[in-house]
Amino acid sequence: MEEQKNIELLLRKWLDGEATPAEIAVLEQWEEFHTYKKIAETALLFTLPKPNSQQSYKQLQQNLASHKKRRSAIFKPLLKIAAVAAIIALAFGGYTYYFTTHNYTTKTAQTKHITLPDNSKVSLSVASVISYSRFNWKQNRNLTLEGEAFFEVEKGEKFTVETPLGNVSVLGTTFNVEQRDNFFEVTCYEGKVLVVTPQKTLHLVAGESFSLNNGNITTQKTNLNTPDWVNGYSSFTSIPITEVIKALERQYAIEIKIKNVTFGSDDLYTGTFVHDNLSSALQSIALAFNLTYQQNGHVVTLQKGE
Amino acid sequence: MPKSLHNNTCQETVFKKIYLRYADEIRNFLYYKFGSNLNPEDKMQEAFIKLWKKCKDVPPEKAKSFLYTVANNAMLNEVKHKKVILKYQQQKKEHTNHQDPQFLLEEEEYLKKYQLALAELSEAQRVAFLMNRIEGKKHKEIAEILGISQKAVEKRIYGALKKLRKTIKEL
Repeated sequence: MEEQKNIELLLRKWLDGEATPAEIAVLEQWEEFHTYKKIAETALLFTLPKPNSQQSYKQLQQNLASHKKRRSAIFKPLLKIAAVAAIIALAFGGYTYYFTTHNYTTKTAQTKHITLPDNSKVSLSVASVISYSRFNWKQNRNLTLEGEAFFEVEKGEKFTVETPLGNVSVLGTTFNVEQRDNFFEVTCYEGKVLVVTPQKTLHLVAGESFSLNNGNITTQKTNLNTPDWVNGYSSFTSIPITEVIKALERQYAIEIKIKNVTFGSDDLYTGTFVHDNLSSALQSIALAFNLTYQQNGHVVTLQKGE
Repeated sequence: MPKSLHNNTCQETVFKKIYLRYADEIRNFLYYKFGSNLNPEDKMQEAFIKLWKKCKDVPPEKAKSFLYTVANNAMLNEVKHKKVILKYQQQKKEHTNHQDPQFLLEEEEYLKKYQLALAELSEAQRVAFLMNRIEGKKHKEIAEILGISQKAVEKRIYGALKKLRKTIKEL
């Protein structure tokens, strides 16, 4: 009992920083002291970040100045009305600006470059749509994509691209997402991205590519820095020729008809076609399958070579 | 009695001196008492704005208690139904040699409990305890700032320590 009281007295002294080394040594022998010591020391982690006093004084001066201004405005009814009108106009404008969803659409044979509110960049490939809301963008970087786009994301909060077949999340990096019909492909060019699909969740690091084609998952490596379409051509590795033909149609806004030959899902194409020269692009596909082509305005006919 | 010209709160130099002397102290006081979610910096600034407006009525020697009262009231107007949250800083460098994830997890766990336990303290206990632990103020100094006896300060700090230990243990 006596000892307990003594320890309590020492503890109080120690809290005031008045305990002598000998007294601290006594406390140290007491087992519970370490619990108390930890509690006393942990408090230090709860400090408030200190702003520079001189700078916060400047802040105060600004606050004082704005107070003075506000005061004088009260005595001018006209100004008051004008202010109210301006606030309503701003609020309305701001509302439509911030809360409505922004849509960007590209048609076939058209690409767009978009800068998001945080300076992240999106290159939208042909026949694609993205939409996002400006509201609270910095905290909530979510956008939806249908089609294909290349992203250069500034560092910040989680950046998520939602598509019907899966989501891609990153913190700050460059990557390409393509989703068309049942095809979904994500390629990471820098940093690290998280791909979430109903079938699989995985991380991609730079140089890795993930694709989902009618439920079939494949992962590949790439050593490019940007997707091919950004550089003006499309490249394919073991992709069904029917998909390649669709890509060609989108790219050049043409319609391709196939005569006296049928393609199955086993007819795969590995190769590229350029985006700025239709006959060259057609040739690269026609040659691979021993076809000939005829162009008539927007319609191109592919048929078995003679 | 003639008033000294150089001792007037309305004088910018005097006012600035008062600001630099008390701004941090008041901000911290508000933070210890009410936590960080009500923005102690703003309330502190509000108090100084009020002081500036009333500078003719408040001589410099009364400025301190004026500021404390105004800032405290500004907080009380808002505080009623909000929970006290004090933010802890990320662990400092000296802890990085314990990279064991188990250890880090336990530390994080402990800090969360600590945060809740701080919120459970009475305002009086929390203010005195944190002034003492964070700013290293002596019991005597705290007694002067809060306008209470040294014995009362000692009681609050010791009580806080006991209560923190009990709450953390139970959580």
